[in-house]
Amino acid sequence: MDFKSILRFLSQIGIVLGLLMIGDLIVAWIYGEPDGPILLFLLLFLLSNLVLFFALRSHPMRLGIRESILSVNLLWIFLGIAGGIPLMLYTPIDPASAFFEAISGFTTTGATVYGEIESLPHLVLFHRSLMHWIGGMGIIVLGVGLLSMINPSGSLSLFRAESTGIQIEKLRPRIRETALSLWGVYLTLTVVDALLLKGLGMGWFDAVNHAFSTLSTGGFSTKNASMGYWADSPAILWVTTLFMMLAGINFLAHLRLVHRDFSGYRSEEFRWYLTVFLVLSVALTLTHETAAFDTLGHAATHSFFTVASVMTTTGFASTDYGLWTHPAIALIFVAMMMGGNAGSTAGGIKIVRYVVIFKTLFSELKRILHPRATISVFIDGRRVHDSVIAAVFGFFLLYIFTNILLTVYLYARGFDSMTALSGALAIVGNIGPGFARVGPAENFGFFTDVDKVILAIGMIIGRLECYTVYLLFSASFWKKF
Amino acid sequence: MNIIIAGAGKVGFNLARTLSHSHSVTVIDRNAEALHRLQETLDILPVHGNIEDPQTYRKLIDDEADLFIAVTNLDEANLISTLIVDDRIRVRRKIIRLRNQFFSRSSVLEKLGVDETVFPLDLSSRGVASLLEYPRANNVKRFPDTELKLFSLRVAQPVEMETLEADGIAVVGIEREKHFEIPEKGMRIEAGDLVYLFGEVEKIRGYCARLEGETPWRIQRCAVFGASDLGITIARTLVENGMEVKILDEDPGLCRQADEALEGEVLAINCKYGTEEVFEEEGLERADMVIAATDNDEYNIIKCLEAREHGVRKVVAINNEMEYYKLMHSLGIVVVRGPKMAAFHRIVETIHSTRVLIERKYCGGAGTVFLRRVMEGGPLIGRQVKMLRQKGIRSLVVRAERLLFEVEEVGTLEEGDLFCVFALSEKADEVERWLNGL
Repeated sequence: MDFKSILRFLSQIGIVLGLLMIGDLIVAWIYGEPDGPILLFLLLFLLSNLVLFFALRSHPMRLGIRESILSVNLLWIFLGIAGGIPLMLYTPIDPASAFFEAISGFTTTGATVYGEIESLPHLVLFHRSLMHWIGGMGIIVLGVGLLSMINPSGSLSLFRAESTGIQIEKLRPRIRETALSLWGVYLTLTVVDALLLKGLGMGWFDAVNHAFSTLSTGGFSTKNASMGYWADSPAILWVTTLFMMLAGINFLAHLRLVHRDFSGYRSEEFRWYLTVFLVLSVALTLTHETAAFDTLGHAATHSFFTVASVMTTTGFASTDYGLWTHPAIALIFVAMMMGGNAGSTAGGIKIVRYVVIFKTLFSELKRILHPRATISVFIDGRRVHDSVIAAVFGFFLLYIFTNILLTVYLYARGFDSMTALSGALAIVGNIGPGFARVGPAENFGFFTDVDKVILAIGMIIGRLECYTVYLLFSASFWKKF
Repeated sequence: MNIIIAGAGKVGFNLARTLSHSHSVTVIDRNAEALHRLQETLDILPVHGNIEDPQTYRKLIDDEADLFIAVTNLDEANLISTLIVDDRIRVRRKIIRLRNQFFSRSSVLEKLGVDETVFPLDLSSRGVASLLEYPRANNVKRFPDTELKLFSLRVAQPVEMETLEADGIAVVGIEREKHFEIPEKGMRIEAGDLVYLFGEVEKIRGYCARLEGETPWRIQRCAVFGASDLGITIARTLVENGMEVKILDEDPGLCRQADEALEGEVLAINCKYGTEEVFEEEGLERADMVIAATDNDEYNIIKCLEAREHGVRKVVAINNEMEYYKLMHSLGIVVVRGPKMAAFHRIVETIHSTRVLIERKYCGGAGTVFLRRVMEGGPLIGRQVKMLRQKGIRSLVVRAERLLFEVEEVGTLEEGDLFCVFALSEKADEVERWLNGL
């Protein structure tokens, strides 16, 4: 294991992160909040990373598969610490809560430990949204794009370590160009969303923060009632619904659009994504309407919003949907299991995996009827490689397994079954709110320090799509032979 | 550079691996499995499709490319693809690999607008032929623009580098205990070293003669294992050079084919049942050189070892896979690049060479040599240039076929001078920048 290369990689990402967090400082200046602690922190943080980087400057970067996997795991712990310190400097929270909040930010989960959000300093609110935004497209994607620092094979295995199981898609030969273009699309969509939100009546600060949170499918809000604060203006909710859905689409599809190529939106995954969204939303609208005697428009606004929010693993709430009827909650549960498209900022299982799973299952049925037939699984007209199918099934099992473990843990800790189950799903799926004690109107502040660290690890497992974290527990990972 | 490689076979894969470090590489092939493997290991864009199908090129985002390289196994596919790609996108330079030697003499390529061609079989057989002239050499490399050649030979007794250089022979590489380095001034050459000498042929020949003190050894009788196209081409070259040749293969069909192709001038022997007796029956132990020229490196290695066991002095193996180069080398077998390796190296050299600057690899790619000619009316004439001096880099100037080692000797540059810089391959970029910046 080449630890020097790992350290050099971490220091480089640290520099990028430090530069991005200058945004916090600017917010502090704009709102006249004390800038001393954040200034000192940023100086020390950047300085220590720069020193480390220059010390290792001449060390050749050699990130093989093992190094990449370990780097990515360490990076997430590093992010949790680096993102947590500013929170501790400005609010009276303990280290475990800060770590939880930072990991929740970078993994775009959106589960918070803060009960009273509106009284937090602007700097802290912005810092939370910024963590979402950085984590959404992935800091490694940014790192590879911005700095031509990683050797070609290294960046490939880093990409793979950050999201496993699905093939890397590119528009241009070099991963660096694609990474930069993706960030360009991400930035553009964020700006458009912020402008729209501002135009529809939000303040600048709220608009920027919510745009960050929406495009990264994070879920941190600047208000206690989350998006419910703007429940009176359906236009804001609909725009947010639209942008959450856009963020849940493969960003390469958006990038193709820049080249006037619509093929990205004709993929099977996209069609199923839209179908699932529409079916669940309409069903939720109908159950909601019959139960709560709402107007159709009101029911549709909140139902579409909620399905989009939960399905794309954002976790905004336009109303406390925890109070809805059982059929409605059951539908939301289904949405919680979905996730967005591969290559989007959304977490969860992701639609393409369901497509692979169901197509494989159907092909197995066919195989029973036609034992002599050669049967392959096709997606978008291309045969899915057997190794990909195995990886998808493996991921699905690991994902379920992680959820079961976390549910059992929470249940054993004395929480009710709804809190345990929905909490686990919401954490591993990077959604944020679940039901009961972790519902949309509640927060995660009541958990003990140990719980928070375990939940934070759950978020990282979900964000890194299981394999990357579990690999650390396999003996062959550490063996030299 | 934006590079498109048509064909993801052995040559395509190696090219993609080498070029993707510093260029944007797109690889087109209709074998999805091969592309999948490429994509898993390299930072390239795989495009699935037939290179002869215009639709394939629609999948490319950019409508121009700096370089198009066609390296499939089929001449027809390579030729047609250069036409089609031209129709679809703007390509600045086209390099194709061809088997049929006919094209080297015809005007077809000019009509098609192909800039460079690589004939792998020809390259390999020429590699073997150059061994005939210099029996003691492990390898001989020639360059355009100069008569000086690069020799590699195994030294039997220690010698001072200065003695050689006083004779006008430059020592530009030493391989000692499997480690290649560019020697520094005053280094001693030990017995058993493989040295790379650059200089006039006659001088090096003279040195060789002095070295052993015996009558120069000539190659007269050769045996070639492998009667496929490569074996036949090599046998033909040997016959043209006046050698006595026997060609051997386990496949009777290939033997017949070789017999016909060589018009009975070479004895084609089927060695399917036991090589041991064949060595005796056919007197192969009296051969001056045995060349194992199949496309299977393992088989080639075995045949070479067997031949050496029977007392053959010079054993040559054709190397088809990069991975085996080192093994062959360390077993003391003379290695000649097989068609695929030769094509790969020649294409990389062609890409990196310009009208002014020529690049060649030696010692299995561990060393790189650059040549830059001082052009007529060029800005370098009359200038004094400080030589690039560093560990792992050796620079010289060739003036009127004479080697000049020191700046003082060179003085001001004259028309026709040739800069020669020998460097470890990891320093190649640096040297290239320096030479281009002159």
